[in-house]
Amino acid sequence: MSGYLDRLEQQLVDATRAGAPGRVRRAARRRTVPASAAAVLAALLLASAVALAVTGTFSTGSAVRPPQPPRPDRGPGIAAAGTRLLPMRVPDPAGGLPWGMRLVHTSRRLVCLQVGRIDRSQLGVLGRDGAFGDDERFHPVAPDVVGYHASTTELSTCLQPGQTTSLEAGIAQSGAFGARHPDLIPGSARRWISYGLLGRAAVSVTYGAAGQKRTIPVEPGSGAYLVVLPRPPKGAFETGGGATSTNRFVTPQGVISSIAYRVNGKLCNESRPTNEAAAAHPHCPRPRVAPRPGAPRRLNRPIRVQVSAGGTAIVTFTAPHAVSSALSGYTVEIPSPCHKGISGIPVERDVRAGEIVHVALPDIFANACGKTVTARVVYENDRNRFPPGESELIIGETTIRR
Amino acid sequence: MNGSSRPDEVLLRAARAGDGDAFGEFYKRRRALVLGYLRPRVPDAEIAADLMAETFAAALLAIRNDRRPIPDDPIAWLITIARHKLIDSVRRGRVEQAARDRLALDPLEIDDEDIVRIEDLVATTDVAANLKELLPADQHAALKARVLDERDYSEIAIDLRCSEAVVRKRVSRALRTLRAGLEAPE
Repeated sequence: MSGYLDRLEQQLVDATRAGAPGRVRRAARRRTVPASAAAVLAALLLASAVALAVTGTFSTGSAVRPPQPPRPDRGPGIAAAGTRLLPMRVPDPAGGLPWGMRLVHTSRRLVCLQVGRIDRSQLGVLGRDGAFGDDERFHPVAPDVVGYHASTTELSTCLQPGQTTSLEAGIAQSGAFGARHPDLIPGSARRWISYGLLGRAAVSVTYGAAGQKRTIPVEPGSGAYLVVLPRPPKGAFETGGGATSTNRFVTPQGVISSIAYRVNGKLCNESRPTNEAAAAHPHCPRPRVAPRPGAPRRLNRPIRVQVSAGGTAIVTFTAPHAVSSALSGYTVEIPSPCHKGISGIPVERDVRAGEIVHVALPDIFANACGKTVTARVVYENDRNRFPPGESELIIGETTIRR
Repeated sequence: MNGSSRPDEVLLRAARAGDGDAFGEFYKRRRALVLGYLRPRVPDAEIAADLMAETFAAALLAIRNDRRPIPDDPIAWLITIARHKLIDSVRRGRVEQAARDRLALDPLEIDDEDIVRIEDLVATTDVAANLKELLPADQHAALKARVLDERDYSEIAIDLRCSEAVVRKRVSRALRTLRAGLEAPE
């Protein structure tokens, strides 16, 4: 009979061929490390811990998972080909693990940015400042932990291809968004991060720190950048802000004072207006695009609504067009003429042509101007509509009475 | 050299595609290195063998995940996995086996003959000694600090009184030498 090393080889060869893990579960076997061995190893580990403290490496804790199991056809989708950890490493003002970014391409064709601390080529957050029970471990963040539609959620921002953005946020040094309200985090443990995706024309960003201006190159190709500061700039909103653009140029905000682009072979700068009235701040030449005027087209398809006693309305319609990514989709809109606004609930999933779709609208009368509200189902072929003025398609609308 | 002369990266890429023989070859080529790293850090050969098995199982799981890139430096990557398994096992007070559980690998008995064979293998492939014999002094110092001690390049550069770029170059050259010369003797 062959020995241990050969049998292990055969197991590994078979497991490689088998592909899918976990075909047959075995009874758990535990090889206990003897107490004396544990003591020896503990000493080694202590020595390692000293080294870890020097190098800023943390032991690894549980992974950060999405709040819901990700699905390829819903919400932002799942991480797809092209997802990568960007090579940039930004030192933390207090040292330790550097900060970095991951660019996530999703199955629903969104492009998402994740920001976090980097340990051994993994992006994650630290168990500090109220996160993960302050366990002082590094918690890797899965690529599928992403937000949706240009909204900043925990750790991520998602855009449509071609959109550009520059965002700022006040967060804990752990990298965990929202684990604790910023007011409850000691000043020394707070960080102000500015990050974005500026597109392939972007060259560099200039920001202010400690009374000085610094210019850093963006990542070639994507235009990604990341700045980590110990405190927010004067006058910044407490939790952050930013801008997303569909015309490739982003107006600098917050700590970013200017963004350099290369347009038609020449460098130009987008600078932050010194005040609201200063409309003539330097900027790069915009592409000339004439808006396409046109009234919304109407299909006048039937829309059914059922309202529960609690005020939740279930809107039902038949989808005339298929939706296969987050770039197009249906939205149920509730216009509110007296508030001069429209509230809406997007259908954030793939839809088959001809599928009957149900959408729940909680508290349908919350913004009602009278005894009725109108529910309107709209289809957008391109949720990143550009040029502006392109017509939308109204599938149908109906009036709901209290 | 065992088996073919295919580089580690090629073997791992083939293993990702389901080539069991390729991963078997990678294991045979590098098990001495992993044992050589683990054995001086644990009290007996049995624990070292157990940790080595878990290390290769974890490596296989990592390779099968096609969202992860094939490592540029499989030797450093493998040693890093081994080190993590060692630390995790100490923390838990038992040898980690999560990777083998995920692969549904049956437990393997280890007998006295196996122990002797492992000790022999380790004795003839002591990593540090091998490195010292195989490598020029400057490359050995850089590689030991980076791969075995897992220190940052910046820190090593200060110790060795050279730039980070020089350290990286020395480590890179050392790994290239190892790829050619540190094949597992049997």
